Amino acid sequence: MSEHIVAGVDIGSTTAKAVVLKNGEYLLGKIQSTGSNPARAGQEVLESTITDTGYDPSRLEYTVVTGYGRVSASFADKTVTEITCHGRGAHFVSPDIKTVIDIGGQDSKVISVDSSGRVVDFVINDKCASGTGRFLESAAQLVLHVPLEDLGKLSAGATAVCKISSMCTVFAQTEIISLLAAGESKENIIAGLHSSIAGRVSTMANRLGVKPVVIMTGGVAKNSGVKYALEQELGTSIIIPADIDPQLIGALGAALIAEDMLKAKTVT
Amino acid sequence: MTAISNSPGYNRLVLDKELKSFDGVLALLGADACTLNQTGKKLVAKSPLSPPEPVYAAGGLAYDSSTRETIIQAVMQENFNLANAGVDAGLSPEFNPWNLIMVGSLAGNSTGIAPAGAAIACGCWDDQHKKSWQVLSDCLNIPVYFWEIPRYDADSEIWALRFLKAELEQLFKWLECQTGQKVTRESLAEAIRQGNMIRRDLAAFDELLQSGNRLLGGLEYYMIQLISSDYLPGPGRLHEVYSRLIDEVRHRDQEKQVPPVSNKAKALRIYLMGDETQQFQLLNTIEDCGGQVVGADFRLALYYELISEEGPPLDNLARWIWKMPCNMPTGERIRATIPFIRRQKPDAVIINSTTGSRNLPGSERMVRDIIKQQMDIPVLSIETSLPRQDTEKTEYLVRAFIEMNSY
Amino acid sequence: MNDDNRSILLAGLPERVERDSARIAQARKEGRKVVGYFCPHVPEELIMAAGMIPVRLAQGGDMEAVSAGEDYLKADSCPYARSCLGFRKTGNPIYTGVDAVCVAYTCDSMRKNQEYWAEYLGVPSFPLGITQTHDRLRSKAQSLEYFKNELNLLASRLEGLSGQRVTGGKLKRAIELANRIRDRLWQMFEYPADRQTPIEWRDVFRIAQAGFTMDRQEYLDELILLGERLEKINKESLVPDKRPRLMICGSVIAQGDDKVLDIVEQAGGNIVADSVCTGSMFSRKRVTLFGLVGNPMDALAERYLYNIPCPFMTDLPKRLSRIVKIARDYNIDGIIYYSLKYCDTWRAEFKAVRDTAQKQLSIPTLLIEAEYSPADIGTIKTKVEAFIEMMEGR
Repeated sequence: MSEHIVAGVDIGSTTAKAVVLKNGEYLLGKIQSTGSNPARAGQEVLESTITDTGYDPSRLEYTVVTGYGRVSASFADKTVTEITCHGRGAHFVSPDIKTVIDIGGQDSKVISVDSSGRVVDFVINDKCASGTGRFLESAAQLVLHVPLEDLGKLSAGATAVCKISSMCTVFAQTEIISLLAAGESKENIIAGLHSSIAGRVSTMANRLGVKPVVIMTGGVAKNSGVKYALEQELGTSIIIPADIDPQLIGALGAALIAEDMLKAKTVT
Repeated sequence: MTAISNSPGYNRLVLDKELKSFDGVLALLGADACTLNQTGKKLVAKSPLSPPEPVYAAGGLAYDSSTRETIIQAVMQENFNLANAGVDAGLSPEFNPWNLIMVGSLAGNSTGIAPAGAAIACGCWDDQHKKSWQVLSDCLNIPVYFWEIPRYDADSEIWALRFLKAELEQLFKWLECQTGQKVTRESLAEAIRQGNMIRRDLAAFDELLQSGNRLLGGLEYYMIQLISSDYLPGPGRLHEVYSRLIDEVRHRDQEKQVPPVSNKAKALRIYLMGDETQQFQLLNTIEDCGGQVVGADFRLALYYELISEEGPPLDNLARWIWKMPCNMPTGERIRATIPFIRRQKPDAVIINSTTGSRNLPGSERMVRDIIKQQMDIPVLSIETSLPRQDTEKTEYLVRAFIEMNSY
Repeated sequence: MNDDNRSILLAGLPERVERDSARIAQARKEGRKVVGYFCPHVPEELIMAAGMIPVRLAQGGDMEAVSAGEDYLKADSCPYARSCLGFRKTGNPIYTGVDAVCVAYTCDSMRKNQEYWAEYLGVPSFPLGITQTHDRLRSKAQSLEYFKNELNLLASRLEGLSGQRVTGGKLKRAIELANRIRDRLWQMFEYPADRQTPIEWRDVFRIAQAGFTMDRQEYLDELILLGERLEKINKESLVPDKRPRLMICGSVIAQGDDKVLDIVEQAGGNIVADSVCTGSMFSRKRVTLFGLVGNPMDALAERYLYNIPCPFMTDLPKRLSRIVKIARDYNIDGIIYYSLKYCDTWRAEFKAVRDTAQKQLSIPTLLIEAEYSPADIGTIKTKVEAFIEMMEGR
């Protein structure tokens, strides 16, 4: 097949991501915020990514869109759920992956994949913010006044893990205020938050059965403190994608599926 | 010193230190099945309101695992994560915490015992208990035996009792296989006689609470009720513990040594109904706010009347079981319970619902309406969950309720 | 099956169903009484033999009714049970058009339902006791005897309401009518086992539910007509349906609760079989009269006690084996387990169903816990779509 590019777009509730593949190889990926118009955000991030590759947008032969905003993306050739896409994308990072843990802004998922990256089972927590990025965000930004990207570094400096007993995001904020007033250090509180979120996610993961190799994807994967806490809970080490931003795994999986669809089309 | 004295939950509670013989109750409350089974008999687990007589008639030892596991694990040791273990075993996260903790605890075998077998009264109440036993039986690979109590309907007495007797006879046969001991007319009569001793004791405690003085604290009364459901470590020994306590409390009345309750001149007399609560501190809170617990219907079904000791024991047992208040439809149940409530002379009623429970909370509206209609006293409805969850909210409601009814 | 075929088959049915509440109101004006029931453990035949019109009250999916039911049951209770009470309060013509209800004494929510109808909703509410321990070897004799007596008690209470005696003859005629309806429905539910089916499960489901409120004789006539039309369709000419074949198990899927079924359809799943009490289970077994002199009450007791797969009963192994059998007969690729939120009995059996499906059939089971609110449509869509993607990838 001649040179061709395909794309995967992951329109999440907070961020929209796009990944472009050339001849099935990873070329480029970008992230932008979704804002209030998911379809437009998806279109924008896709166009922006292609522009940055230097290729003409007319060379784009197939686009798969995933994420919560996929339903409104009219530019999609096909839509696929983020579960299948995360499974596929993770498998591309490392074919040994059997368990994918995706902690996103609004929900968290655990996905079991087989040796070819196909989804075998999955579980989603979409009811409660306490196992998601929202939990950290609200605490970090509203109460601790710490940028999200510093959380991991700060928790590494903790002298103890300060237990947060509130299971609810809103009550946890109140609890943090009391802890700060009582003289607890920010580092210890952040370690406690990481431990809470890891506890929630690992409960979900254990319901599925955690098989190594385990990978984390999604925005929260960039938080080394959560990774560490999860490793403690699950008793196994966890990979974070290194060559590609963990937030792009969904879009990567979508792009790989786009590549498959294109090949299938060409063959028939 | 008892098994629970060092536990975090216990140390949050305020107990009546002057009541010396209460140690006997505490020893029974916090001990797990292994400790309580000193005689090496076969342990048969059961649900709280299922009558223990059949198990004792077969020479076994009944074990109310839902109450005991939850008290030890959740209330005292504060191992709340066992609820998650219950969900992992297959229960819904929406189940009530009594069942979740029980299954979580037994499935993980935290107390180091697997009950000999599980027999539950699968009569006219509680889906969640039934399902908990089903799930646990799968998990632990232990046999579960469901026996059934037909619904109470005056028009159906003849065939309902016939059915129940057949169920009981088959239950006895199954129990015999577990314990190796046959249930005979004599052993059943003896079990009934011993159970009646406990019933008299529980009625005696209620009578003590009828006094104008506060002779017995609400938390103590609650614990006394909680340990009554399986007669552990055996009806004789339990009766001894209760007797000593009854004597000491009666003595207080005579010597006028009553423990203080609050600064209020007259405490608001409160009768408790609904689900049992895991928030034991609530019993302290009621007193701190100026209330006095004068009774509760949580275990009333177990001692609402004596089982007749004249005539065929099987017939008497069947009739008594069929007429247990918990087996009646709500309207009839409350109307049958009201005479008991009146005897305690309450000024108000507090109805508790446990989050996730559906049986009793489902009828709470009806209970509230009937009590108000027939007794014309104020009723407060509260909801409680695992210990230490949202307790400020409940405290606030109780305080406001007592205040507004004390003036 | 395309829309043309569908409209031909179901032509006339929607209009008839809409006319039902008017028809019922008319019958009441003429002095006939209407008796509602919720659960398929209640034999319609008793109501018919007492000279009254039976209606199955199985509506749901309506948020207003659910909220209205919260005057009695709490918010964290089964939405269907809340609806059973709430529809009466919101003035639903079918629910307000009954002169009495019969309530089988099944799960906790249903028992409360019976009590609230009795104390608050102004019409007689007849409980029907039913045994739940189903170890047949052990308890069958006394269970059947008990249930038969309960049926007799219910019959006498119904007689008291209508003023007409329930005789053996009337019962036999009612049984025959109900059997003929059951036979026809069951035949229709069997079509989707074939990839080249002239009618889809969803449409048979709609037809089954339409029967809840229709006049039973007219319903039978309609079923016969539908059956003849289906026979005429040449199956070989139909394009084999290649979509993933799903079975739906779970709590009562009420009339009007279309959310989950619609989502599955839109996601490209093909439900071909079910184990729900408002679906094929309602018509699965006929009442077998034991010879010419057999007592019809015995026959009713035998069929109505053991047929319904309600998990309020303890015979989990039987429910599991039934699910496995259906899954095999219908070549199921996956099971959708739709448990209404707060339905304790169904939810607690999910793990057993999932494990059994995995072990015995190597097929996955998806749990959907939902209430009637549309708030969770997005997340259910994702789960269902991912589930179907999982099956397409096999």
